[in-house]
Amino acid sequence: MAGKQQTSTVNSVSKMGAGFKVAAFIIAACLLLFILIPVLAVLLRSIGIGSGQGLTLEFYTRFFTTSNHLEALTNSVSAGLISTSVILIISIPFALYVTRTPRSPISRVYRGIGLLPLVAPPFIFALSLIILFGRNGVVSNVMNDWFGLELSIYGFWGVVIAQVLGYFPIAYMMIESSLRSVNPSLEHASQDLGATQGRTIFSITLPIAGTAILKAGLLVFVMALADFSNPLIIGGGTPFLASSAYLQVIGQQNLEMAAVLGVFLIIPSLLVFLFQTYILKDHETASINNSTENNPLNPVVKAVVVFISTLMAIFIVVMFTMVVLSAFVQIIGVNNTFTLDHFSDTTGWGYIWNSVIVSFFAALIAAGLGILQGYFTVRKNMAAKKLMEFIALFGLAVPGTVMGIGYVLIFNGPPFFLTGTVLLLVMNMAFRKIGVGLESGISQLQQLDSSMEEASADLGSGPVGTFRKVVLPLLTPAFMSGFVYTFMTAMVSVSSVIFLIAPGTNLAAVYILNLADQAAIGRASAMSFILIVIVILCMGLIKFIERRANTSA
Amino acid sequence: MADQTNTLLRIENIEKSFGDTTVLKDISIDVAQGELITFIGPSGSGKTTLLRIVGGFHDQSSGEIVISGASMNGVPPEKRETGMVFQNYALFPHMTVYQNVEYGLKIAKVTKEERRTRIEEALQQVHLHEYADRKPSELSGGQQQRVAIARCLVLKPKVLLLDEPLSNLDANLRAYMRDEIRRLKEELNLTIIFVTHDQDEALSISDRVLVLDGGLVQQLDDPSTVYQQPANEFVANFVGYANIIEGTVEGGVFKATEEEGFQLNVNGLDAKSKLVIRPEHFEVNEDGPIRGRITKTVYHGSYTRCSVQIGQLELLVDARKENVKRDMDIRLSHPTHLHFID
Amino acid sequence: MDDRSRCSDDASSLCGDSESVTVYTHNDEEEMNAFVAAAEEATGVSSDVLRMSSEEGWSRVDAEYPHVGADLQWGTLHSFALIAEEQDMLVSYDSPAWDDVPDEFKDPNGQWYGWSYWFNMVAVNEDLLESEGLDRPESWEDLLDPQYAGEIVMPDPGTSGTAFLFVSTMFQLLGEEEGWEYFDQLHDNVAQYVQSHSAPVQMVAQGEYAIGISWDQAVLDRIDEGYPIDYIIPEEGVGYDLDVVFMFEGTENQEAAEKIIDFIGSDEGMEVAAEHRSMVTKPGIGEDDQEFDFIDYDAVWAAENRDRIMEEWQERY
Repeated sequence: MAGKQQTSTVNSVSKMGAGFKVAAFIIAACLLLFILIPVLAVLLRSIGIGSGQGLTLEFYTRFFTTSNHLEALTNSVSAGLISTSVILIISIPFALYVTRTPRSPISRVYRGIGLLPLVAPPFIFALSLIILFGRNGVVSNVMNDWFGLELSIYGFWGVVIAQVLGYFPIAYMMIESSLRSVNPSLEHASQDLGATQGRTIFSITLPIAGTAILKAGLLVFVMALADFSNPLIIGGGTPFLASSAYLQVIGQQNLEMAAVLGVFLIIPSLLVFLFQTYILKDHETASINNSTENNPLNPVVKAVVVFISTLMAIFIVVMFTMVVLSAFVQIIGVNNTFTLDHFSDTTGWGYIWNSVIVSFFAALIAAGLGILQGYFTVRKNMAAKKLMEFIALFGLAVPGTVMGIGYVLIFNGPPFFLTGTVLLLVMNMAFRKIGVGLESGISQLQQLDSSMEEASADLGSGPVGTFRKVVLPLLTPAFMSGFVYTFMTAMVSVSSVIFLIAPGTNLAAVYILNLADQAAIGRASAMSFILIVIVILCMGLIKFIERRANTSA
Repeated sequence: MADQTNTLLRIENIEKSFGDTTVLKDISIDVAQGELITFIGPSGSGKTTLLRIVGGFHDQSSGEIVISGASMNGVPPEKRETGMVFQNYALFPHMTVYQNVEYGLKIAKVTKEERRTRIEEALQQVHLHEYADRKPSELSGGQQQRVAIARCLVLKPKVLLLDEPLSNLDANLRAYMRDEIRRLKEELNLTIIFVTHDQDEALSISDRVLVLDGGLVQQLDDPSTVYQQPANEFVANFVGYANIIEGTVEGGVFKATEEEGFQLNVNGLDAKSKLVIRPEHFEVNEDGPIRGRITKTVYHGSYTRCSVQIGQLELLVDARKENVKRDMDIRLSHPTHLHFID
Repeated sequence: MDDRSRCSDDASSLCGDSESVTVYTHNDEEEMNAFVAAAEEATGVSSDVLRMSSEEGWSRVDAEYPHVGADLQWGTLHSFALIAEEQDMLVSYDSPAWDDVPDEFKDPNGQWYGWSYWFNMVAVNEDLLESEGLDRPESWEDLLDPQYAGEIVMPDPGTSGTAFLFVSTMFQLLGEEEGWEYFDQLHDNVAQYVQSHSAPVQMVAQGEYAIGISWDQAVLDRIDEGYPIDYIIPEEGVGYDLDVVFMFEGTENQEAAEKIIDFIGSDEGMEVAAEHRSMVTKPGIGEDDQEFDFIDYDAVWAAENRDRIMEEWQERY
């Protein structure tokens, strides 16, 4: 190969071709338009800018003098703190049990159960809780008959329990994977030095997994804080930040006050996001020696973790069972005769179709653009790449309600007029999740040796050709993980798109919330059941395609 | 070495199976106070499993571990007076060197002042007293290794268990740490079980060597006996290189089966069917009685390992002279050392 | 999926015979599904519907104007029609199908048409009243009795037109000062303010609470379904409101929307409506045997004072 040509092609690996420049520009513009600008619009609106009143702190004054709003703030924060603590207390022993009994079929079943809530709309547990513990709930009646106890799940504690169930799998997943990566010989060493297994878990295992546990806790806290649907269904009128913001918008068109509430949602999210991204560092864990295995749990520790995990697993299963049952009977608890009436809702089927389409395209965009951005970030000198990475990841942290309000502010009028269009729903879902594709793309690319690309360029392939023939195939796993995550979350998400739907573009999860809101538990359950089945089927299909692609490759 | 009165650790008829596979069969060893014994064998030989049974990390299927006359059956690791140093050191990454060493003492509820004295002492012993405040990630491999040892030593365990402790270190450091462990053992009169797959390490560091294969004891002897008088063909081949020649003995003369012309005087030896000759026990000598031709040479610095064709036989011979070359005809003197095995 | 954007450019070529309109409604899903299906059968016009509670829908329209995201509002409060008309948000259309409907139920300029009445109604769970040892309330005043503490559920007037009808009825009955006193006391008995107007009945039907404040059809439907509940028309009388349909200024499917309005006013449309409503506005259609105590409800007053009342409501509760 001629020396001159070689230098020029190798250089092109790190330089941008014209096609890439255009792509990078489009990504950057989209990140600004679909993440940053809506959030900024909310911030500005809260101080009166954009409302026609000019700069004012009047709305903050109103916030602090309205007891309802202050109560919403305290409720959201304390529910978040409580449910986060409970989730951590449960998910740690749950993860311990699953990781320490890897060969037990029971623990594998538990793992599946622990992750099950991910495929359901986040508020489905509020429904089951009402079925079981409402004032006329199945359990409540028993308690009432036997002990004369009057249970009512509506209100603060109902929201907390629903949050615990809904956000458990997030924390559980993160803690499980960190416990898996703790080198077993550290525990052996601790026991050899005289510590009991219990003490070993508290002074060695958990501190080493501490960063991941802290991260899980923070994430769950932010999600619980921004919880929107549980307060609506089971809050019984108790004010919470996200639902109050929603009611401000839809009930009173008071976008300014909604923006103020949104600011209180976004500040903690932003702080947590900054803390996680720039301050928290993982412990350097010694490389894992596969030949050693964790000691089996001793009887006492095992009894404790099995007890806690079993309670949780049973609780989750019962909750799901309730939804399934109530989908197939007239009115659960009142008239338990079998019926398929709840499924004969043609409107609902249409909305499910909408959800599948929107989620599919959102997932395609989020995973595709996310990975392309990852490629530019790692391998190319994309302009302001740090800032763009920050914005994309920040999109993950922005509470859905805030994003929804921001979209209403930006896209409702000129020059966009996008409200109510499928396009806007897709963009909303895609850009809220683009960070996942970006992160997995970056981590995948950092593992791949850039010499492979240099080799391709050296062999005469242009930058775009190199990307298509060498980089893309290697990035398939990252794409799949970004796609699956976005699709799954998009199918069940509510808090942001509820502001954006229009006649003909209603979505299944929003519709279920609407039904639950009308206390039409049977139809809401039936729709949830269909939604869960479809999400599971789609995931299965994707996994199947992935496996086929892998074996044929 | 292991005289009965001085026995600290007794391994009695230990058997171990995982499911249907038996990994240890009827192992019995007595280890004396102050002794360093090495378990050596290929991977899968059961050496690490045996060490872990002593440490209490595995339960044996049958048999007994006795330390200082007390049975360890059912005693968990934290209650055994054994200290284990792991292959990857297993230092707690979230604690400083000082805190790592302190960990066991805290659990043993040792007072703060005593802890300080003992930790300082232990860190002195491994020459790490200046590193007390570092995190493990800020130390080199050899330093981490010594922290792991200090962490055990500070508890004054009756038996120190070392699981391939030097395998992650480079060659020079390995030699240095070998000396360090030997020094500590002498200074503190430690009883040590040392697992390795490296025969050089085993021979250079041990008082006695236990050679394991397929879950069976192949040989238990001091290093020179193991080397000079291997118990069987496996030991002969696993520990060092060996020429193993089949043949017959008549009237004090060994005759190789493959090559009748290869004859050696074995007068006074307990004659058996196979003769073991280490390559270095031949000497290239112009007047030697054995004639052969060099077919291959590998240069090792202080010697050159040659393959020598003697009739139908091919033998390994270490030539200490530099001038050996392929296709050269040479003569070898009578081996300086001979050993018969079955 | 997005018929609006596809059809708006050139309705005839892209959408062919299957004309369609986009619709905001506050009607319940079940009723609306039947209504839409009947309309499509009769006119060939299909409808994409978004259901929101009345107040929610109005907020949205208010925010979106002049680019309202729907062609039609097919069911909302009379008050909102009046406000919308005043703000020039609506399109006039003189529909011959509505000739037989009395003038009081339609706008003289043809900007809105009212096809049915609905009114507040209280649902009680008789089993629950009995087991809790509670008296059957007979009047709005009765609901203030401390024995009902934690047993009353009503919609939030911030989102529900049904609740706003109740609130403004009480103000029209009692005057503003006493009105607030009434709600201050009622507040102590209310267990939940829920978002949706039909949820209180559903909750009462399922035995969650003893008393729910809602509207006629929501209660009567549950009774028909065999729930152990009964309805109460409080002695003081109840407020009623007209359910109206209107077209938004800027609609690009006016022709199709007009067909829908014609259908609603037709005998056929009124028959469908009557299946789901106690009373429709076209004489001679539906059962007329029921007699209820209505107050002389002033929708204009309600429209004019709505924002002020709701602001104070938010402050108080």
